[in-house]
Amino acid sequence: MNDAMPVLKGNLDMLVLKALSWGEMHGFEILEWLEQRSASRLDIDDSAVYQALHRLEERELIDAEWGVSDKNRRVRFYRLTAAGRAQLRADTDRWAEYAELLLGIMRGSRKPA
Amino acid sequence: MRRRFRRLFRHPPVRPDQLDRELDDEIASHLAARAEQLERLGMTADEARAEALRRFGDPVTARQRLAATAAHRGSRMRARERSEELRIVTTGLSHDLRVAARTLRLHPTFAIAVVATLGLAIAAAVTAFSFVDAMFLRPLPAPNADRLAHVYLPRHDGRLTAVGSAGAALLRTRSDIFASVAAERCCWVKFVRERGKLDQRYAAFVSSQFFPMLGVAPRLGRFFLPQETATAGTEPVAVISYALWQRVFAGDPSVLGEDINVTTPPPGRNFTIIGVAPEGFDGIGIGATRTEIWLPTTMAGTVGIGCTPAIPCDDDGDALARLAPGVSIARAQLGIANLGAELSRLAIGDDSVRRPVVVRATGASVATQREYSPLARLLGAIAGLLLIIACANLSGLLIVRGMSRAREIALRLSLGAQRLRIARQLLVESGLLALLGGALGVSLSLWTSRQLMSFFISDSEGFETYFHAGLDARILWFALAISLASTLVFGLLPALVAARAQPADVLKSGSSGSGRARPRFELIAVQVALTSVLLSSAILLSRSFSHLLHAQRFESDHVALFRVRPAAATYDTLRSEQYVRAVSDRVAALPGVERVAFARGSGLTWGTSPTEVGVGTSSGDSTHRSDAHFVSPRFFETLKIPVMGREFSDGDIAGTPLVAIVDESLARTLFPGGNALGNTIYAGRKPFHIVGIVPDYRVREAHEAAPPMAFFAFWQNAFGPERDARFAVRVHGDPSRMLGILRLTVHDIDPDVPVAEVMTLSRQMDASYPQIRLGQNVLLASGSLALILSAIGLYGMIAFLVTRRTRDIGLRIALGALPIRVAGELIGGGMKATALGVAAGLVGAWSLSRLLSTWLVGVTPHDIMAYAGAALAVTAAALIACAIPAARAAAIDPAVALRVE
Repeated sequence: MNDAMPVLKGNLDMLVLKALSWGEMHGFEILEWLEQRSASRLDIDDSAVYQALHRLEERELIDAEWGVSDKNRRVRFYRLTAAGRAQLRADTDRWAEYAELLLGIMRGSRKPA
Repeated sequence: MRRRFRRLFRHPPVRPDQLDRELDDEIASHLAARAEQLERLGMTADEARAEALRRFGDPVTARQRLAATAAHRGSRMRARERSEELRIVTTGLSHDLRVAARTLRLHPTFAIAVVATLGLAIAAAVTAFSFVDAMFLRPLPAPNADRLAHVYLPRHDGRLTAVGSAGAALLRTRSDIFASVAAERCCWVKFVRERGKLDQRYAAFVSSQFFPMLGVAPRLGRFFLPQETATAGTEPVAVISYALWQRVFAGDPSVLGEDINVTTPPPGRNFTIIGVAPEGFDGIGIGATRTEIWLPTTMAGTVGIGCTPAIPCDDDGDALARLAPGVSIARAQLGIANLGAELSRLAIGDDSVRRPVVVRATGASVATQREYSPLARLLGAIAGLLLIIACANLSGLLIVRGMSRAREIALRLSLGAQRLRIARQLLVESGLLALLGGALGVSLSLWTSRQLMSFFISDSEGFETYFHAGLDARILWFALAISLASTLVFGLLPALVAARAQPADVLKSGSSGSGRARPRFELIAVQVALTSVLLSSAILLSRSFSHLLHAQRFESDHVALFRVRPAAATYDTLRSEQYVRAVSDRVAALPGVERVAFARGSGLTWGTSPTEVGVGTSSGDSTHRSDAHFVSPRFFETLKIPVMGREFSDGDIAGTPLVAIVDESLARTLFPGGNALGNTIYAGRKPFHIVGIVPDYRVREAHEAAPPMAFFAFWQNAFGPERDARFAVRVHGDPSRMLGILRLTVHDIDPDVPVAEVMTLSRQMDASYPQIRLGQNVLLASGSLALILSAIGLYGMIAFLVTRRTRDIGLRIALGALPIRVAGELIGGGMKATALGVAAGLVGAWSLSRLLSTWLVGVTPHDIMAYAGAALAVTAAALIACAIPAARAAAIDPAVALRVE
């Protein structure tokens, strides 16, 4: 595991929304998904993901329901609401733009006007 | 599904302690999952556990922080929930109402169609309920009427027997249970001479507790004192009704102390008027005749009610009780359980121990309720069916309309409107429609209830009955409840369909609506099925009634009736005979009168005669029981009943050889060889020469056994002097216009003889069979209404399909499809639903028809004609409803259609 990167609160929320855009998941599944996608390079406390889930639920971007996992464990499943889906779209666009802008500046591919 | 519901109705806020528990559960579940993962990667169980904890975060703060976030979420969500609820109820609702009102104003045709449909169905339901209310539910017109109860003895067959005035007296001793117990015997016809004039009156016999218990105060004078209803036969006092006081005594206050004379049985008996009842008080017997005179229960025996004057008679009265304070019906029933044997001995005469029952006093008498409960059930069933049909129809209409609004709804959804909000908007719209429909229904029901009750305002003898079907709070509540319930029924399905729509699908597919929302032909099938049930039942009852009319084999049009009773005026035989002849002659001389005839018997042409005779073929044989009718010359000619042989003539008078006429069934029984005419029968040991044979013409109900009929000449007085007579007058034109003249003419001949039953023969027929007649009318009306509703529903759906697929159809026609084929497909869709509905409906009607069998005369419940007729009518209506829009589809011009959009 090489140098893990910390994740900002707002960004973690976005990542959790992204994870849930693939379908209903419980908390540990979301963590697994994040670890897989980032090759475990993100430095996230497991509890932080749950914090994020509570925040998102409060904003009604996700919906939660108790259920039973594949491993027969009682878990809380989360899924996107319509508002969550819209939020994810907006976040993605905003991020792409933001990242492109920053990258453009940092790599200096274009001379400043 | 659960999720959808939770979304639609919002999940309930989670309580803080539950939140904490859920948090711990979730952490535990997570740690277990993480540890398991780590073990798979090769750690030992202990290592894995420790690592999972480490990764979860700071052991002290992680849970605390998480708990704080969760609590924050919980309280925020609860607060939001509360404010949202408040907002939904207040601003949201009024906003929705305004929007709904605007939407309906913008689509007046739609609104009118819905409100009219609903109004008609609700009117039917309210009318049926008014009947049930008046008959079964309405409390007696008294203060604290909920404390009034009847006491009965249940017989083995389930009938309830009154405990009588002796029973009432016994109950009175239980003052711990009953504050007061009154005895009432209702509704006896008595001939009463008031101020010299003789007329028939409906009298009731009541005990002194009766009026005070009902909280009635006398308009004039006083009511009975306890000592006046205590001893048999000693207190000849009377209370008269306000109506009688006005009509006969012209409201004269000096009426108190005046005597009236009850003429029958001879020599008659005087009663002194001591009081006048208040205006509008006609007794408490709903559905019974209005009471005009009240006499003490103890005087019943002296005017020939129930038993002979020699035996003091005070049985057979209803006990009406006011419960003592704090005593419930159940407690009262328990409290008098030990009185059963004694009550039964007093009322029935045997002392088989019975448990008396205490029944809340509402509506009509128990006997009347029993008589009318099948009709009430029929009315309720019809109203229910109509309401379901209307709801199915409206549901279909709203779905169709919802589809045309699908784009609007999808747009609002994609703009972030909540599904709940949209569903609620649709429900509010339906609710508004339902309330408007309910208001229309209640207004309409004022008229329909009156129509319904008109079948009951007088009985077959022309007595006015006490029936009151005005609006009351219960009926209004019922109307409101049924309006709101139907909102849920017809509004919910469209609302759910709308809430389920996926905006993307709808917006992608253009104006044609989402793929999932389609016309609900199953709703049409339901409507058609129920319509078939109503129609086939209606046809069954119609056929039954027309069978009744045909079975009578006489002509009831153009015949007026009246009845004279010189015997009530205590005339002797000679004077009575002179009187009847005079009436016959004077009426025959009136302009417009074609024929006059008369007869003695209860009921001129039907019903069982009060006189039965044994008839046989030899003087010692009188084994064949027959109804005896004593008829005048030209009787059969007047009613246009064909006679084989001759009928009685003016020559058949006392002293001439006795003659008789028999009906076909008696002729067949007595003379199987067919040689009845000219033969001799014996009745009362006297020989009668048979001069004529008439068909079995008498009307009777299906379950009535029909004894054969023997006719004897009125003036031969073979069994004793004939005096009272029912007249039949055949007139030119409308018989109802002759009634006034007849009454005046007869009254003029001798004002002292009471004239009654002045009515047309058809009216008497109707009044004799009110239940069949009413059932037939109600079923026909509701069947036609259902037919129209189903046709409108079908038309609406096909028309909508055509509009929606205009482009599609245009394209197909442009590509060479035959217009007739296109139309055929549309019609086929509608007719498939219709065929399904008709089949289901006929099966249903067939199995339900047993319920009608009590009213069916000469028609089996499985009468093929009725079912075929209903199927034909429904199919034809459906075909027309489909054909009109289908024809429009066939006429679509491809060039125009393709330019649409």
